[in-house]
Amino acid sequence: MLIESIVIKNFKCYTNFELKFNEDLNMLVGNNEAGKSTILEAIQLGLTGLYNYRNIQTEISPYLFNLHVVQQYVANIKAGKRVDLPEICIELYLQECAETAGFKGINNSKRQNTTGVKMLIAYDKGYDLEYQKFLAEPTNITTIPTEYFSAQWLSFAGNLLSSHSFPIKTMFIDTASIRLQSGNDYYLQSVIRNVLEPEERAGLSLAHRLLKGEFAQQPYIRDINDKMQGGSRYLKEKSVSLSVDISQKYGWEGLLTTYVDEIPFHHIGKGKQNIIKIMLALHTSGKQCTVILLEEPENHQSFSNLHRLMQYISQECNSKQIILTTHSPYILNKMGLQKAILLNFTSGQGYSTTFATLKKDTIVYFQKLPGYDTLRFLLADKCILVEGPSDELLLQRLYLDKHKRLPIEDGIDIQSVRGLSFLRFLELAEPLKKDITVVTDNDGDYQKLTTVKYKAYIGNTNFKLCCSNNNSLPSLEQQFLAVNNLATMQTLFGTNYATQGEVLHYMQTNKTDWALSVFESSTSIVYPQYFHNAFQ
Amino acid sequence: MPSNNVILAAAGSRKTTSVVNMSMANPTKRILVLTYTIENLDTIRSYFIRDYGMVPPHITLQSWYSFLLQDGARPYQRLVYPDMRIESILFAERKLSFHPSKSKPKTYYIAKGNLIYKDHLSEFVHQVNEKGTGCVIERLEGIYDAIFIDEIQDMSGYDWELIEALMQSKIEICCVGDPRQATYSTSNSQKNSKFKGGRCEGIFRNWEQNGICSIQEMTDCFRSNQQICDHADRIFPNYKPTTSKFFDMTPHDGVYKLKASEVLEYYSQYRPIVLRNRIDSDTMNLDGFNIGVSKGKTFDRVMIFPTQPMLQYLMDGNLTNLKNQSKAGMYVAITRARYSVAYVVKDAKMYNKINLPGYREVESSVL
Repeated sequence: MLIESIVIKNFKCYTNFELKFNEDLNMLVGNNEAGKSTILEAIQLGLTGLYNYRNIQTEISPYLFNLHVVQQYVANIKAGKRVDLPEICIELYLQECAETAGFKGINNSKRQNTTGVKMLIAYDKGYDLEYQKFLAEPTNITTIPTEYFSAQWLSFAGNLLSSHSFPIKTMFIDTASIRLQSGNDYYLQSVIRNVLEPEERAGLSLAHRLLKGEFAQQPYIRDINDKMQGGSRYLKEKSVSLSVDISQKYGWEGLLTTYVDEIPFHHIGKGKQNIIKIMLALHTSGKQCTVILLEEPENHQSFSNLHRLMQYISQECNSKQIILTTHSPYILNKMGLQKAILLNFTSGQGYSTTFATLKKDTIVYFQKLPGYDTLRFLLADKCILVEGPSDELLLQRLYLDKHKRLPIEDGIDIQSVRGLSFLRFLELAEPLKKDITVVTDNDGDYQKLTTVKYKAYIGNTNFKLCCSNNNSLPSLEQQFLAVNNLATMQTLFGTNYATQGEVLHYMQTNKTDWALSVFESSTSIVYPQYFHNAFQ
Repeated sequence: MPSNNVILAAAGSRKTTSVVNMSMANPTKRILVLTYTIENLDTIRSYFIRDYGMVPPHITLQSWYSFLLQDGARPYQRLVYPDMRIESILFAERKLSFHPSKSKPKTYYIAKGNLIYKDHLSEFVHQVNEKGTGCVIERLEGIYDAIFIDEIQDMSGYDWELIEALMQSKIEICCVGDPRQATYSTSNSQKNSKFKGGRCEGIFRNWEQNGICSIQEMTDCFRSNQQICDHADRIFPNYKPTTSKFFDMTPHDGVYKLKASEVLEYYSQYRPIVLRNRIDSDTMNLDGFNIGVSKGKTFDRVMIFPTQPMLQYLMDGNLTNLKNQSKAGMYVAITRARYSVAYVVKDAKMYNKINLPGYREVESSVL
């Protein structure tokens, strides 16, 4: 493990947040605005001193600060209270190893004698005069004066850090946006830079300089230079010639381009670009500790490519710590739900949930059936689990009848899962203390459902079981026929059977069809009581 | 506990070279090389480059003060100052109109701008280490396998407590130095003051008795000829005599006195390096080095502008009136030279009383 945990204070959406990491893979999931990317940004700041690939010193702005904290400061100043300016502090607690031993000390918010680094963005005492003037006119103050702030990148030993001697390699691969810098892909450059050993980089740089030198020796260029010599008599003894600027230290990065099958890198498909970037990042030599930050690897990937990419990541990630954000339940299931970290906000405070307690067979179950939308389930405020699409449609229609809107608009997510999966999903919900309602047929044995199948959950305040206790009506279709007029139903279905038995047979063999006709009908039907219970 | 060594090395015995070679001989160990002066740090670095092309990655070079600040004071500064970072060291002398109490650590150790007084730096590190039950030493054990300290004679006060604690740690410690060359002391603290000014040998003997280190002596001098060695040895009669291993000869070897009128002529003839006590010493407009700064350096010839106590000693050979600081300065100045040492004696009466050859006398006798 490289990063053991992170503590974030006043950075973007976080006021005071702590997160522990797995030593190998970490998948950050959560709704939009849950702070997933912010965590990657914070890690990058702490490990490189960079924000958006630029030195943080030049990037300090009020928008880096937590909005609430800034507003509080402004309100206090306007109210005449004297308060300190807020500070951003990002601390990374690192695993102690030979390379990081020099970072040990107690200069951290926990006062722990441990190894780590921190990025502190705080008011700089050098601006006391300016700040005094700023405070003199409190009515004009709308935000914090970040021009008087400076960033300090420190180890827990209290010493300033410099990136050239920093022992941990960080690779941030943002697949969502492809940023170009002077025509080249900056991400790819930084990945290549990290893949190459220092001596290889030096060799490349030298070869590039030699190439430029040869340019000047070309007959054409020599002729031109001779001509210029002749014309330079006005310049007195000064000699004028054309050559290539070789002063840039890493000149090759600006001029060389990576080719994939003879096509320049930025001309190949975005999906392929991302795969190459990720693979290069994973393929670094094991000499240095490496942290790979991966933003939404599923972007631009087809299903089969994503599958291959995930396989590659799980094979190659050994000895490297990967922290990724994702919206893909496929990635989540495939890579193992126990590596997921769910982020959410409740009343302005960030929280995280992990699933380390999941049983091995549950993890394997979802790995084998990665199509289940576990992520949608985890992110729903309230979840109703049902047996199939017909239950799902009927429950939605019932809610629509009652409230004139669909349940999802009120944050109630109805998901259909197979009979055996119910318990897997319930296990998944446990760490979240999420409200779960299960709507199910009794299959002719109500007692068995309560005393065996859901026994562990009965009585739990987050759990509700909705099902009929009438064992003579074992299925959904029988339940609905029992409370509705046969003729009304037949009108809805557009059928004309003679007996109830035939209608039941029609419904059982056309499960989704009849439910769809109910869902789409202009008239409402009657619902069994256990359906009503689901929304109470 | 690993084996710790103190090597007492005569001037010119190539002790700094031996520090460099010792570090290179252990490429699997993480080694810290410390020395007191920036000048000597540069010398050590230049030796690495001269002999090996670079300072290899397993070796860290650091000055004693920077070491105390970065790996001593800062990592656990919050045990004393909960919310402060020590920004740097205040090297200026502290002029006190009052005695700050140790119970007020802020005024005792720290000057404006969160600078720590240089004289209290090692004391602070010692205090933090005690408070954190050995945290400073334990942390260093995680970073280094061996620490070599050059110019050990420059240490003083609480420096000795720290070095002793290091000797009792898992880290292998090797101290190299020459108490005869104790021209500096890293702090003006009263702690361990009986070991001040070159008397640190006493500390080493105590450590040896307590079994935490063994003492070795290097008495071969590769820099100066025997005449110069003998002349320098006279200042420290209690040390083993130095044996010169430098056998080059020139027509002008040995120790001489110079009249003021001879200085410029001598200077243009032999191009000696001028050594003075302080930058404002009168050196007849010749540029040169302060004696303290010249430590560790080698010159073919030196021309010393002696202080009054030095002149007195040259006249009467009486050591009792020579202060430790003067002894050390004189020893350093003499032992810089390969071939010749010349004292400038401006006062004619004094010149006659000093029992050294004038440079003309010898030349005429040679002729």
